[in-house]
Amino acid sequence: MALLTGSNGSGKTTLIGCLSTSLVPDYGSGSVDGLDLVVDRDQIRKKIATLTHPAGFYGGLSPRENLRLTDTLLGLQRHSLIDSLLDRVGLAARKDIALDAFSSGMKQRFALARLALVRREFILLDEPETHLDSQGLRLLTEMIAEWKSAGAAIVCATHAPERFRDVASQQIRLISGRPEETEAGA
Amino acid sequence: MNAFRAILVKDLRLLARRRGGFLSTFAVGAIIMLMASLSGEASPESLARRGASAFWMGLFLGSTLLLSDSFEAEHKDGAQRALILLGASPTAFFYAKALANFVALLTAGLLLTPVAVALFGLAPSPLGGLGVLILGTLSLSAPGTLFTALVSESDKRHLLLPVIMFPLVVPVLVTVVQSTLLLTFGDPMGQTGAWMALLGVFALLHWLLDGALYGRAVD
Repeated sequence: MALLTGSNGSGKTTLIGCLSTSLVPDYGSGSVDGLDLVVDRDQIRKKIATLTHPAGFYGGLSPRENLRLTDTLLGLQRHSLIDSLLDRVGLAARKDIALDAFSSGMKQRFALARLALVRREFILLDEPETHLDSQGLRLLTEMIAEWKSAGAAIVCATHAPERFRDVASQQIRLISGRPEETEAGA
Repeated sequence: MNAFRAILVKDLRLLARRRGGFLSTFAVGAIIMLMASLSGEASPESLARRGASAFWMGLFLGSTLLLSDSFEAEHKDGAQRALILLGASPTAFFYAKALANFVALLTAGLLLTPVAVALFGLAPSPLGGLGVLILGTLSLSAPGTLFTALVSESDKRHLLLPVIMFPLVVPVLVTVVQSTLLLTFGDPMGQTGAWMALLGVFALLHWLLDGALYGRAVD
């Protein structure tokens, strides 16, 4: 797991956007697992899962409806897994209420549930700690540890690297889009 | 096919829950028809001729509000983007959204029909009128879906959409108005079939070409 740090505007979100193929680099080149970020983006998309801002959901649908839609688009129908994930992130009691009525922290918990549902070999996180309370932060680090032990490669842009020191193996500080230094972690 | 069905169900569900765009479409269409009915000559034929134009112009302008509303759900919290990044097909998104928009526009058109009858005495044959309404709303919903995707991230989308879309749908509007008039006043020269066929060609072209271009618009 690599942490991306740096001040506002240093390029963390842009780098996450390029790696997720949401953005096309203006110049230069890059790859994910040997796949070119521009040419092979459709194949890359099948390997990555992202948690970004905005989190990517339909506010007029409930968490359960949103997760079922995501699951169907992945070609799956895992209704019991969806219910158990919503239970795990603390949204079981509100699973049938439209997400528009949720607080920012609850929406972030929903985003975690969706990331856990998608579970891919590369996971990109853009400030995943945003809006989460202490219980939500514990849940986040637990989930990251599980994904890491299951073999996922994780890149996490954050302003709070100390929260992830136990699970991160590398920290890259960006200054104006370029890496300044690399630290070995835990 | 599963993706198409899932997105269609989602769009219809959101349409049923967020009635704002749908009601705005009806309101704009009804207001435009009311204004048109109060201007110009009051002879039955003149009224009916104005009514055909006002009905379709009202439905077109009202549709831009409905289309904007449907894309607000996609963009407000980055939903469509997130699903495409997971590998969902933009083509499935287009056809599901265009079909949902067609259902909404057709319903708005059906609700506006009694208003047109009351204000203008516009009464084409029921079967022919329904045929024109179906082909006309098919021809508006496909380009509407594509163009709304293009402008939906702009703050000025409500202004941009009718301005950008209008030149493209002028041939459709001319054809539907002409077909409506022929079905209302009779067709001694037997032209209705040709106008309807032309409308069918417009619908087919828009559904094929706009579907092919949608991926570029959103990704």
